[in-house]
Amino acid sequence: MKKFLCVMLLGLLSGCATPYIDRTYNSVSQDSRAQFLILHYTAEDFPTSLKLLTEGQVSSHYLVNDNPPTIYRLVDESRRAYHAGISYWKGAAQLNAASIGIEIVNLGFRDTPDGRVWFDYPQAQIDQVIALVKKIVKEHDIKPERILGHSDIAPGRKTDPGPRFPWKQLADAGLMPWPDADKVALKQAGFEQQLPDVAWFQKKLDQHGYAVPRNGELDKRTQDTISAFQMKYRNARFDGLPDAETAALLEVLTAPAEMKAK
Amino acid sequence: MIRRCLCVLFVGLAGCASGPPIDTSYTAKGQDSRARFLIIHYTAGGFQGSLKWLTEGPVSSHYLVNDNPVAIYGLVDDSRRAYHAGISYWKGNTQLNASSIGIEIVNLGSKKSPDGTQWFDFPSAQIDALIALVKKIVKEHGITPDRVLAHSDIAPQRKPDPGPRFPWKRLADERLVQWPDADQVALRRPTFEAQLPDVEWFQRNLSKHGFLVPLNGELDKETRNVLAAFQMKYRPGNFDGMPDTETATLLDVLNSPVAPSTNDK
Repeated sequence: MKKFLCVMLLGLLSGCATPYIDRTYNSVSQDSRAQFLILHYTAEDFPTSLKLLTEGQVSSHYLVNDNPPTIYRLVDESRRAYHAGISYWKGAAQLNAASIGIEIVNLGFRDTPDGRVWFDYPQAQIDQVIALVKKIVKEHDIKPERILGHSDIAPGRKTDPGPRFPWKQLADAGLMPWPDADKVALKQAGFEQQLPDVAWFQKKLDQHGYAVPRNGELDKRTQDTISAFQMKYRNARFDGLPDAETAALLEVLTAPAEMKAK
Repeated sequence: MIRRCLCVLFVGLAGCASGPPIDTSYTAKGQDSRARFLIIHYTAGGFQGSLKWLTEGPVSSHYLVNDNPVAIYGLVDDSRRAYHAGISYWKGNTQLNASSIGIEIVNLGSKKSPDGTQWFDFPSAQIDALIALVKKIVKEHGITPDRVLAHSDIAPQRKPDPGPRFPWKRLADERLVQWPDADQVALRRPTFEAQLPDVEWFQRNLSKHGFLVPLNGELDKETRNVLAAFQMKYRPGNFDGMPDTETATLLDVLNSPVAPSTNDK
């Protein structure tokens, strides 16, 4: 009776009765809304990063400080944070609702008379990032090929987490696919004889997941996309120009057998 | 010290299940629900078959609304992704499963007969239950009326559901979906009667409204499918997919709402 009254009163007060929902049945076809894990650098020091990400228009689920390398959770994983912006990967666009974002405290780059200088990530900070990524991908069953950089989903607009981010360490931890060095060397020798044309690069970048023009022209968007790819897989040079090594990396990564993480 | 050691040992045994320590002292202002859209479907089948398909099959939805007796079943928690939208698009957003909540309504859809395609009505009591459910969901997740959509809106080339018999106007009367203001429609109609816009105008405005539509100026099959999806919702009496004065007016009013007067604020 007490319960009945309570429900009645609640209904009256809220102006509309909450419908009764039968939860007897459960679908087998379901999974986490988080399908992607996106890595960023903050391009600011810790206090500024924290302020921007908690009080500003942007946010992320996690913030990993450098010194000390503490992990902060700013948004619960069940909720949408605003870290990806206009974004695309393999047919999926506007990835905020479908992703978890990790911001890493790192100043990014600074332009000097000798050119652009990028900042390293301390190993202790990377250890924390790897531990966090492991936990997240396990809990949400995020596929290895969906652990991405902000620069992957928004090339041209974004460069983070930048060329100094050690993607290879994530691959070594079994978290993401990495092109097999022997296969790359073999393919590279072939591509050095005959470099594929721009249309081939565009096709492969598209196949890999990037939003890239398919016009056969080495325009700015195509160069930005090549550069984003190079930053991740061949970070010694990311000039955005087609070359044999880049072609080999792309070829090996887009070959079906290489899609699986080890 | 020993205690701490034991604790670390325990973590080791658990295989890192608990993960790294995480500081939760701060909370970001910039956040909201992952569910940005509410998508309405019909099942095109009876209750038992629909329930089996949606719980045991490769597809699913968050809710299933039966017709007789009228009842709401929750099949997937709102916090999880269900597989109801498929390849889909709305206003720059794609693959909407991760960002939407799906409601399947038990309704047989359509059947072909010698007199043409026949569509099945939705009992009023079923729509009452649906409206109560939609109200609850949009309130809890902060979903705006322009994002309460039909499966046919987000996949007009593939899907007709919930079909022309679905009473969108009843949802509009509860301010749950966008609806063109009748006075504005009457006001603007003469302009379009005097001069019907070309196909490119329709395509541009359908795109602005949110549909994925070709922008080639041609009245091709894709464009006609999108026009039909729009008409099914806002002018279900005729959804032949052909451009006409009324469709142009409805589209124009929906795309350029008049600013509310200061009295309305």
